[in-house]
Amino acid sequence: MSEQQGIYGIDLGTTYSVVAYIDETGRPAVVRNTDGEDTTPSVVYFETADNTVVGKTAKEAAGFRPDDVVSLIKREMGNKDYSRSFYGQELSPSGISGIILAALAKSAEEETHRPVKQAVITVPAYFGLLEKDATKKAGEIAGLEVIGIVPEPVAAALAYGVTGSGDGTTFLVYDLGGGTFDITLIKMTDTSVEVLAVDGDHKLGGADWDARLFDYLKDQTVEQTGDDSINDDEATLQELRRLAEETKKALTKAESKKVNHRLAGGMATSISVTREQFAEMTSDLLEATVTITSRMLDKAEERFPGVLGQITDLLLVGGSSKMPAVAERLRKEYSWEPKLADPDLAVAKGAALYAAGQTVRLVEAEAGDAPAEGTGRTRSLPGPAAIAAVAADTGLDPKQVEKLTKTIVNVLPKAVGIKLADDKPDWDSLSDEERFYVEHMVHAQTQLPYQAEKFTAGTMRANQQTIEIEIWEQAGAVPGTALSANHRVDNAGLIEGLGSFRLPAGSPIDITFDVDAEGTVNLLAVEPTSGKELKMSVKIAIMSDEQVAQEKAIVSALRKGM
Amino acid sequence: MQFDKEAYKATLTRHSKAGTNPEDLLERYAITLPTTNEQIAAQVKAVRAFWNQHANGNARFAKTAKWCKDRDGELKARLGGQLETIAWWQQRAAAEAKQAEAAVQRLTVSLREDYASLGAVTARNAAAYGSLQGLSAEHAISAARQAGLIVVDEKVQLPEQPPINTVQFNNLTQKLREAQVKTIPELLHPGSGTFKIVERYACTGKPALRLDKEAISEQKEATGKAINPVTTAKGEALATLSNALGGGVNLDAVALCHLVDLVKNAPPPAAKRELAGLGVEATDAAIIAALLDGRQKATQVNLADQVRKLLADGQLKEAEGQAAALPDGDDKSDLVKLIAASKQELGALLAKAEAARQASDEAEAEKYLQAARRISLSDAEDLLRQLPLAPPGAVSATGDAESVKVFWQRGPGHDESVVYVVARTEGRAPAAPGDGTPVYRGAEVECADSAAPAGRPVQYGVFATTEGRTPSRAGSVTVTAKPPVWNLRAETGIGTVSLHWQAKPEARVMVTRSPSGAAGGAPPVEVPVSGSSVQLADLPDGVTQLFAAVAVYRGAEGEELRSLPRTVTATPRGEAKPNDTLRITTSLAAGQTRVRASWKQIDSSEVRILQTVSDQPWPYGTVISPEEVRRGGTMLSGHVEVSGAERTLEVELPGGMHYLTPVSVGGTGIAVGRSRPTAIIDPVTNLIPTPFADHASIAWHWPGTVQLAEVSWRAQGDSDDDWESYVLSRAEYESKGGAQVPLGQRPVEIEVRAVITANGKRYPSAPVKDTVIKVMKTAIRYRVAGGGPFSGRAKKLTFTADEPCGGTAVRLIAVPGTIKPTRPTEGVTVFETTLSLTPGVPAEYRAELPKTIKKPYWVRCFVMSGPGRLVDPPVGDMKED
Repeated sequence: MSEQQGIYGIDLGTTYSVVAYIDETGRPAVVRNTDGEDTTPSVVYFETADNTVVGKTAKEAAGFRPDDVVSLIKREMGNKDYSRSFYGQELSPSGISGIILAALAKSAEEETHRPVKQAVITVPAYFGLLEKDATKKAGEIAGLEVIGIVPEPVAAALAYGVTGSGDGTTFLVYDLGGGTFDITLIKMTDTSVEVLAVDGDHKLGGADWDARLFDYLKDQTVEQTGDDSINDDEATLQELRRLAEETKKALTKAESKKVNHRLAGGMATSISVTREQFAEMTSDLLEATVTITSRMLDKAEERFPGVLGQITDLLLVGGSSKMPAVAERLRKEYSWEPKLADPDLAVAKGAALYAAGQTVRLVEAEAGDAPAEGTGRTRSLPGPAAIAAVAADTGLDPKQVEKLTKTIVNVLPKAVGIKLADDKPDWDSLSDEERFYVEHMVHAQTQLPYQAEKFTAGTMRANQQTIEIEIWEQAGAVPGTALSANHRVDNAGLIEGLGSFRLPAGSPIDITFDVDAEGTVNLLAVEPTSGKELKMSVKIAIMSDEQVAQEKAIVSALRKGM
Repeated sequence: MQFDKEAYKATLTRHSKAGTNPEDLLERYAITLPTTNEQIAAQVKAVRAFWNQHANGNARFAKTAKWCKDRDGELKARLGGQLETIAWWQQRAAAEAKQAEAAVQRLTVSLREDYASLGAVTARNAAAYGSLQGLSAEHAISAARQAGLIVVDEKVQLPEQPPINTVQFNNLTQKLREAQVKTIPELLHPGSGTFKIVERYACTGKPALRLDKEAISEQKEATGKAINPVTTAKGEALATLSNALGGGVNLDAVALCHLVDLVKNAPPPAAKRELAGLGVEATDAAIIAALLDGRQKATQVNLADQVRKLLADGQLKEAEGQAAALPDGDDKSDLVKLIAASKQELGALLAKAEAARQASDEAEAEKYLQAARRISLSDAEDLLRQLPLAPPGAVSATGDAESVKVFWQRGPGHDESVVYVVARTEGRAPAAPGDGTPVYRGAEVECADSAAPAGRPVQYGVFATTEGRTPSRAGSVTVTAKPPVWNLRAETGIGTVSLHWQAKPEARVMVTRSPSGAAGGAPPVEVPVSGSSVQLADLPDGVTQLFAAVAVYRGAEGEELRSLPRTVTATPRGEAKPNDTLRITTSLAAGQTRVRASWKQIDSSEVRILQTVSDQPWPYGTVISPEEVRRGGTMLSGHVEVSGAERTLEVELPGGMHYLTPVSVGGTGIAVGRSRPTAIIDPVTNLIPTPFADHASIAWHWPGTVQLAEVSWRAQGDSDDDWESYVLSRAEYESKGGAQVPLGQRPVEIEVRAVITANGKRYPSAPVKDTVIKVMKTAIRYRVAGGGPFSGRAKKLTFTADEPCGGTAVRLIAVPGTIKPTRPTEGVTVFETTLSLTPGVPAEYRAELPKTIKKPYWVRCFVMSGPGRLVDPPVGDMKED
């Protein structure tokens, strides 16, 4: 590891992002941005063809140039069909996120006086294959080497300093961020962090609470002024949205807030909002998180009987978990006392700590000292030399570094499988929904790495030359075999080389499907009679390499102007 | 097909303003068939990009874009990439066309059944039929044509009013009847046969004929000069038409109006037949009948809507009347049932309201009557007016203050229009708002009665009133007023106290005195009262006296009624002396600066601390009045610790300069003591020392506008005299990136204080402290030299240190190449040992380079463990080219 580089973790949030690093004292420290704040709004303003602005100023620009501002882009990660064009340049969600990451990296460089080359980026635990790939691509587009993608609840657990015991400490992480909600059950031992179960909704977050308050303020404004033309006035509405967010934050400390606002025409409004009213208008959102939590706990108990009785802590993470109603509701529903400490920054700090652990592995790999892969779920811990080297470079205590190299055992949040043809009469006249289905090879909540049992598919026609293979992932909360309950995650997968076997129709092909520790899907296809491995070209990628290179060039040019 | 952004924006804007969404997929995706896969894919992509751009906004338009985006997500989930294929769109269009075809067939049958007798249907009526089947207007019209009906365009309308005034028109109609002429065409062109009239008059057999001046003149000629009722009437009718024509009126319109007037009350099929009988050509007869049918249906719908509106407005009787006049049909029967149900409900509500009223539960009765009012205003309004308001709740009073205070709560159903009236009586409760002595009238829920007689029971009644309603019953309370004395104050002199007060004339005032703190000791002593004051002398100096004054009343039975006591303390004092002993110290607690003011008590005066932001104007020793003190500054308050003669007061003060002055309150006035200036400075925060090899860099957050800081340090264990310090400015701090303190062999204690200067003096804040544990490792220098002439690959290593250093393990490595090694694990280990160095005594070692190491190469030494740190020699020692 170069002495010149730092160790960075980035919480790329839906509404706010944070970057942290390990400082000379070995503590995770948060980088202050140019506005002097720890958190940076995840908002991008495309001011001109060669100037973009990220953060608070971008957020303010939404009032007068809403078409040139992008926010909540994290909600589009994994959406292949989403793109935005600015000044003739087209950008995907990964590209736009890359701009945010580049800005964060620049702030970190200015504060630490070290180049930011490698980073760990966090993702919601509920992110699927495409979303994770999109996040990794965003890092590459920003010019970063993404040395790890870590689930946010795991990062938070590291930051909270939950210490694992020999027998394991089991706890819940309730992560209510600006745009996503994750609930994760984690078991931490002194050598590993195991994700036992995970659930969430990556379109439910603080932004939805803001939206309710915004609707209320808007309706009250129309009522008080008798003028509903503000429904078409973006600047006024943007100001109301800002007031809504401000009011939400104020109600975490005060029982009520008076919102005074003067409209462009001079009319003034004064709207009072109490904490009780706010809780009432958003109670269904909070209930949705409780429903998801209970659903996850039920599934966890099914898979690990007795686990509910082992849970000792409930950690609250994410800025939106600061709302008093959250802790109150959770306290009422479950027996654990919610713990709240630095929820805005915990994920980034934990990511920096995780990055320190990942750096050890990289140092080891560079030195050629990496131990052979262990069996089963846990990998061998890195050797003392690598630990000492990282400790010397960072100022961390070697024992602390060793703790950070705990193995992360993740679960697959959504079921993954292959699209297969359903053998029905009149097959050709049926619709796709009727003709095909998805066979899930690895079910949701399976701990990784995991190798599915060998699956045998059959050729459809005599002398078939290739088999088109499509990897599909569970789309919604409930798994199902119908195509509409899943979405495709690979780009034109193909098993080739069958022609030489001249197989009759219905010939078996053995397919082995496995998912590694980070959630990467690998397939192996074998023609069983000869035992020959067939050539597979399946790539789960949200974007092509060309697209990544193109957007990287765009972001690199923009970065010079930041 | 090209994506037209502006046109698409206009489409979405139209929907957003109308509060609708583009349900039709072709409209939503702006797709025009036929097209190609590529064009569709491009169009879908462009439309999605449009939604992405606008969906995050807040305006209505953004909501429409978001709706489209969300529906697109659902479609994508269901269809995947099919949405971007022409095959799917064509398949969908075909399926829709098929569905529409089936619906059109059903509609054709319906229309044929209902309109065959007319032979025509208005476009609007056809569309109405179509919408019931989910068909568009175009499909409905197509179905009507398939049913063999003439479709009457919306542009074709029947005149609402005749083009001549009503009197003339009615006269014309009358004259035509008298002239035994059925129609105006017949009048002007008798025997000409059938004619068209909807667009204009056109005689089927003689197209050249017109309803014009020539025709009128001809008929006037033909009428001749015979005088009989028929010809007279004919002449008058012709004259009316001639006048109308002269006034610019189109006689075709008059003729059409006349025809419509003749058949307007007939059912449309009969109207058609009648029109045909009057000579109207068959198609036009059908069109007029269809238009009449449309008009009747609209009227019927309007009438039913009117009844519904009356019901919604609580006009049950009117609704019932109008419903009876509706033509028979589904609407009428539905409305009749609804009205019957409403009447039943009304009856039940009125009965419940009456029961509640009789049980004196006005609130409940009002609730039922309000509900009944929503059904029938007329039935409930009067009853509501007659129903008294619910009385106010929880009426209470207290008679132990200067005035009697009465409190109540709003009763059920009391809104902002309710005014409360409070009256007072004796011996009985007030029966009505005007009964007794008026005390209060207003919207508040409390009032004060300063005129209440003291010492005997009085009754208060609180009534709720509002315009148009009967006032409530009283909420009442009985209270006996015992007002205490008020304005009780004490003045002290040297050994004397004077008390003054005010009391009710009916009261006799009793005053007692006891030394303060004498509770449980000797009982208070009654002091003689003279009018409304007491004078006491020869009281012990500096001993606080507690005085209690009670107003005593004679009750109705002659019993004694005592008020609550009012108390005051007074401390007779001797002459006050100015105090010169004030000392001020500051400390930090939980991030706040606390100030301790300490002084010695030098006499029996009461010493208070006066705080001002600039030096107070009175010289030391001046005697001032309490009023001057009040105007001059703020008396600090808090718990004063007493320890012998020492007094200490601890307070928090805001940041800035303060002048604290002890003022001694004595029997003759207040003596000003020696003032002490005090600077309250917020301390620095977030102190973070960062240790490096031989020094620690200190960083902190500067408070407010403070520009100086003092940095002090000492080795742990050293005495207070060993503190070293320096002051640096904020600018220096920022340019150097912090302050620095040297490290040594022991941990270093650090204190940082924010400093402000005022009046040429420096004032530091409370210190913020930290300790740097990291100690500086002992520097070990080394040299690497050749072993000497003919020494070959041997190297001589020499280690020296300026301080004793033992137990430091070192390793010498050799690495081929031109890049300086940075880790001890690189290259080849040439030599290892554990050093034990004495200051000034070099330790020498020899090492042999392996033959495998060829030039160019580097040699370098690293510490493997121990308390030392190596200082590299010049590069020439380490590098061999």
